Order: sequence, then structure tokens, then C-alpha cells
Amino acid sequence: MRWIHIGIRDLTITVRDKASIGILIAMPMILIVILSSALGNLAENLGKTAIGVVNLDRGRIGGEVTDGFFKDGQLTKLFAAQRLNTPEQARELVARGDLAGALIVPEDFSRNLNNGRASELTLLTDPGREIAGVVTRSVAESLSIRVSSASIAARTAAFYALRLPVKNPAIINATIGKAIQSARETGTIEAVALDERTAAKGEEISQLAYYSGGMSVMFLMFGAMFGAFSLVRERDNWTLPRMLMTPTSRVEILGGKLFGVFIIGVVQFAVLYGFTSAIGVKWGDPVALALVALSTVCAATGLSVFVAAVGKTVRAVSGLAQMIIQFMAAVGGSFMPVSVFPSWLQPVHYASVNGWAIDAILNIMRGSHAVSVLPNVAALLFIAALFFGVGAWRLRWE
Amino acid sequence: MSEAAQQTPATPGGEIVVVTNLVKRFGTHAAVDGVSFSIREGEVFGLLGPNGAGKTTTISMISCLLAPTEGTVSVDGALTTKEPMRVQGILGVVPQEIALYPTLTAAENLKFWGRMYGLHGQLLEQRVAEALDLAGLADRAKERVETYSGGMKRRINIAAGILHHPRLLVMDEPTVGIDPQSRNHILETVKELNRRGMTVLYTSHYMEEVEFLCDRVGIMDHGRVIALGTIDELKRLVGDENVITVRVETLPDGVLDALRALPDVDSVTVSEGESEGAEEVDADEVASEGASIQVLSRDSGAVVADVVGVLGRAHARILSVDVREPNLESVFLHLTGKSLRD
Repeated sequence: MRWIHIGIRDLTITVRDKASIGILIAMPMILIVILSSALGNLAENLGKTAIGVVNLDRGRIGGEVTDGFFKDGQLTKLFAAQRLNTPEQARELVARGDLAGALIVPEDFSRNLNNGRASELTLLTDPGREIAGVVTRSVAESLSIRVSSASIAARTAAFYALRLPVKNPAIINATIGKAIQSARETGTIEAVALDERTAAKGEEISQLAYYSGGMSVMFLMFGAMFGAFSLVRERDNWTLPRMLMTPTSRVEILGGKLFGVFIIGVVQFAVLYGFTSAIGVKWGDPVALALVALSTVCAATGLSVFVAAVGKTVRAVSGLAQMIIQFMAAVGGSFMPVSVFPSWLQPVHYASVNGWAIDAILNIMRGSHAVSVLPNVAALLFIAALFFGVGAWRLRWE
Repeated sequence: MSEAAQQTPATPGGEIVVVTNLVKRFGTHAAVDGVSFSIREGEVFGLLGPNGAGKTTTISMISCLLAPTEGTVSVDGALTTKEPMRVQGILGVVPQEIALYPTLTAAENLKFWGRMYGLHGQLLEQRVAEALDLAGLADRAKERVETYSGGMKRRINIAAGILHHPRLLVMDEPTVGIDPQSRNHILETVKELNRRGMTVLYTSHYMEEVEFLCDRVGIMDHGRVIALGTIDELKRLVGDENVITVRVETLPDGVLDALRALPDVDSVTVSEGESEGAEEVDADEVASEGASIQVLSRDSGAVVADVVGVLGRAHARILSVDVREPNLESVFLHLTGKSLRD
């Protein structure tokens, strides 16, 4: 049972090292709060497209078009719209980059529509903000169709109503009103349908929740790398050779070191789980999460043995560990969602511990249970076995 | 005595360690090259040699840390390659480096190392207290090792190796880089452990320590044991030759030949600065560094005056003259033509 004493000793040394505690516990807490606050606002702002609306129409229909940006629940989620007085003002704000686009309703918009003439809405866009422009154009077209439909419906209804044997104006007006309403509702249903197609499935994940998962996984990797440092440092400081000169086998020594790293990882995740839960993160099914957390710690621990084997000195281990952690954090989604990566880069996240772990954690946060994250758990355990095997094989003891 | 020792009573004078034709190569370099010696139960055996002589590699193979390239080591009849765990249970090792955990206290360090030797419970507590007493650090047991002086760390380093009462204590240069007071404490500790029945293998490049402690000595150089025996046996290798060491500021041309031509002079060597023996140096180097001339002679009383006379006539400015009777230093000088500290 010497391995237990080796693990406990490593735990004691880690706990006494204030810098280690800072890196393993305090840093992720701070980063979770900072990143979720800063990037959370940024994402919210980026999510709403700032547009300007200029309504020069003397009639009623122009108001109906532009009101959509302020009153329609779906559109207010997409757009941060502001009313402007003149086309020049709109042009200036778009040119300056303050607005992604501006919709201008001309003076004779209602009159032209009522008289059956074509009318034109003007959309000013910023060529540098292509996506925002496309979204604005799409919505503007949708609103135009809606208004046009209403106008055509009204005129068509009036045309046929006047040819009906009914002479009661109330009935005629009611018929025309129903046609307009029907046309408007049809347009509205189309707009909503578009929105629903792009909506995310399941529970919405806040920035805070996202970074709680991303940072926890990244700092679990840092924690595991302390194991790699510890192995190499012990080799350099002669405590490892000294252990090898006692009646303690290499299996016990390596087992003890891994036990220490594993416990540090579990404690670290538990503390971060407690902290983030206290500030409102809903992690989801605890059983599924425990499976993912434990397999992530295993993978990180295996990786630490590999790093200790490849890095011959503390400096080499430090450089290699930094490189691996930052690469895995970047491609695995610790800093930003993999979904924003270009399509060619997205599959690379499966080459990282972070990718498999964060993918599983996000699914759990969305409501998945243990069975659905088993593939991720299996992948993490495979990574653990692979790195541990190669590392243990190549580890230099003396 | 260790648990193993209590089960198998020591046989005074019997061989506890037998090293036979031991070779260790790192690539093409032979760090240990055909070493053979044995250590008797109850003695203090010294391995003396300069840095790089192969002492640490030899004891690393005895301690099962390194596997021999060739040859065998048996400890109490067990081959290190076949029964390493049994051998390691018999040994206590004090490495040259301070192999302790600086952020743990002395007591925590000792408890950890005791557990690595299989001690636990009340026995462990008792042994830790005993080791702290022996190290003279019982009153500072709860302080972190990082706060200790170099000498105190060395004492705890030794204490960690004797917790399990090993039959054979292997000590690799345990006094490197410490103050004279701590060195004396360590030397007295080794004597005391030996008095209690512990066999000690002690490596050092300080001949004074080896002379003070050891019953028998193996002198190593370039991976080989070049001489082996008791202190007296080794001293007899140089007969009654004394070493006359003269430090000069300059070394005029031809003076060494003049010294070698003196009657009763057996050999003359010279080195730069204050070190003794070793390579011959040219006049330019001597002019900047000074030189030490070692003259071996059986009649130092008569020769010293002749040596000083030769140097005076050659206008070599003499800084100091020292005459020593045979010791391990002169044995090493006699055998290798260089100083132990080179």
C-alpha cells in the first residue's frame, strides 16, 4: 500500500504550494467569471444586429413595416433597431460602421401600394458586414412581402367585392378586412417559421455555463500536468531514485503518483462544480457529469505520464505541457464554441481531451443523460490508456 | 538492527557485499570498468576517488538503481539483478544529493521514507523520534526542511536512510558542501552507527574522512579500483615516502629537471595554482596562476633543503613549503600522479 502514501504525500505538497492552488482553483474561477461576463455581453451584442429605420411614408403601411423591428418578438431578438429621421443620417451611421444596415421607407410608399403601383424599400448595407446585411435584407424582404400581400389582398378583395351582388358597405369592408388580415398573418407565419429553423435544440446554454465547462476541463489539464512536473522534478531532485532504492516497485511508485494526480483532479473539479453551481450554472445529470469528469481526469492523468516521458527536464516538460494544453484548449472549445470554427477545423476538436469532454458536458447541460455521453467517456478513456501506455513505456526513471 | 538483520544474525567478518567484475557502460563510455571488492559484515568500507571515478555508479548498482552491463553484485547472498527487493530491504541508502521534500517537515519526510521501507504505526513513530535524536534535530522536527541549513538537511538526509535499521548503510559523499561542525556531527554519527553493528559503505573524495572512518578502503580512478586494503596496507604502497609540496609564484625553465636530478628524490610533479600533482604546465600558465610542485622522497628531511636551494638559485619565488608523511592523498598521488581533488 505504499502507493497510497506516495499519493497522499503529493497531495500534501500540492496543497501547501499556494501558487499551485492559485493555478488549479482560483484561476479557473476568475477566468470563468471574466470570460462569461466579457464574452457573454459581447455575444449578446453580436447576436443583435444594429440597424436604422427611416420611415418617410405619409401613409399607414410604412409604419406597419417599420414597427415590425420594434414590436415583433422574433425580430427584437435579432435586431437592435433605432428610428432615424433622414436617409442621410442613416447613410452616415452605416458608413461609420455603427449600423449594419438601414431600411428606408419612401414618402409615397402607402399611396403607391394603395394605387396598385410598385413601391420600393431602400436597404443600406455595409459590405464589410456581409452576414448582418444578408439577415437584414432577408427580414426586409419578408416584411415587404407581408405588406405587399396585404395590399394585393385588399385590392383584390375590393375588386371582386364591387362585382358581388352584395351592396352592403359593412359586409364589403368586413370581407376586405379579413383578406388583409389573412395576408398579414400568412406573412407573419413565414417570418416566424424562418426563425424557428435556426433556433438551438434543447436547453439554452449561457456563457457562464459554457465557460464553466470549458475552463474546468482546461484547468484539469493544468492540474494533471503538475503530475508530470512532479515526476520529472523528483527525478532531478533524487527523491525518485531514492524511492527506487527502497523496497518499492516502479508500479507502486507510478501508481502512487497517478493516484495523487487523480485525486487532485477530482477535488479540483468538485470545487469548480460547487463554485459554478453556486453562481447559477446548471450542470445537468450528476451521474453523467461524474462519468465525464472522471474520464477526463483519467485522460489528463495519462497525458501527464506521456509528457513526463517525452520531456527530459522540468523546462522541457513545462514547454511541452503549455503547448499541449493550449492546443487542446483552442481546438477543443475551451475558449470558444467549436461551432464558430470554420468547417475544416471543426473535426480537429476530436483530437483533443477538451473536445470530447466539453462536447459531453454541453450535452449534459442541454439535458442529456449518462447513456448518451458514453461514447465520449469511451473516447476519453481510450486517450487515457493510449497516453499512459506510451508514457509508461518511454518513461526514464534514473 | 534492521528487521532483516534480526532474523538473520550478522556473522562478524563474513562478507555482506561481494562485487565481481562489475562494468557499467553508458554508450561507449565505461563509467565502471571491471570493479571487484567485498565488504565484511560490521566494517566501514570506504570508496575513495576523485569526482568521476565511478563511485556513485558503483553504489547505484549495489543499491539496484542501475543494472550492471557486466558482472554481479550480491548482498547477503542475494544478487541485485535477481532479488532487488530483498537487497533493498537490507540496504539503507544516503544519496549524495539531498533527496528530501523541502515543503514537508523533517518529521513528515522521515515518516514518508520510513513507510517506503515498510514501517508503520508505533514502530514508525519510534524510529522517526530515534532518527531525529541521532540527527540532533528533535527540537526542529516540525519545521519544513526548506528552512534548514545545508548541514541540517544533510543530517536529515542521513536519518532518512537509517530509519529501518539497515544491515548495510550506503553513504555517497554525505558531507559535500557543509560546514565543519555538521561534518564532524555526521562523521561521529557514522562511527556511532558502526559501533551499533551497522556495516557502512562510505564514498568520498575527502581522504581525511576516509582515514578517520574506514577499516578498509578501495581507491577508484577512471572506473577501476586501483588499490584495495586497510589504511596501513595502502600507506605501505608508498613506503616511507613523504610528500614535499612547494608553492611557487614562477616556474623557471629547467627547474623541474634540476629537482628530479637531486639525490633521494623519487618523483616530481607540478600543477597550477594551489592544487597538487597532475598535469605539467608551461611557464606562461605558471606566471599567471602560480604552481605547486610535489616532490616524493624517502628522506624528506635532507631533500627539502636541496629543493629550496634549487628553486632559490633558479629565482623561483617560493610562497610556501609543506612536508607530509604518507597518507591516502600521497597513495593516490603515488598511484595516479594526480591529486584526489583534481
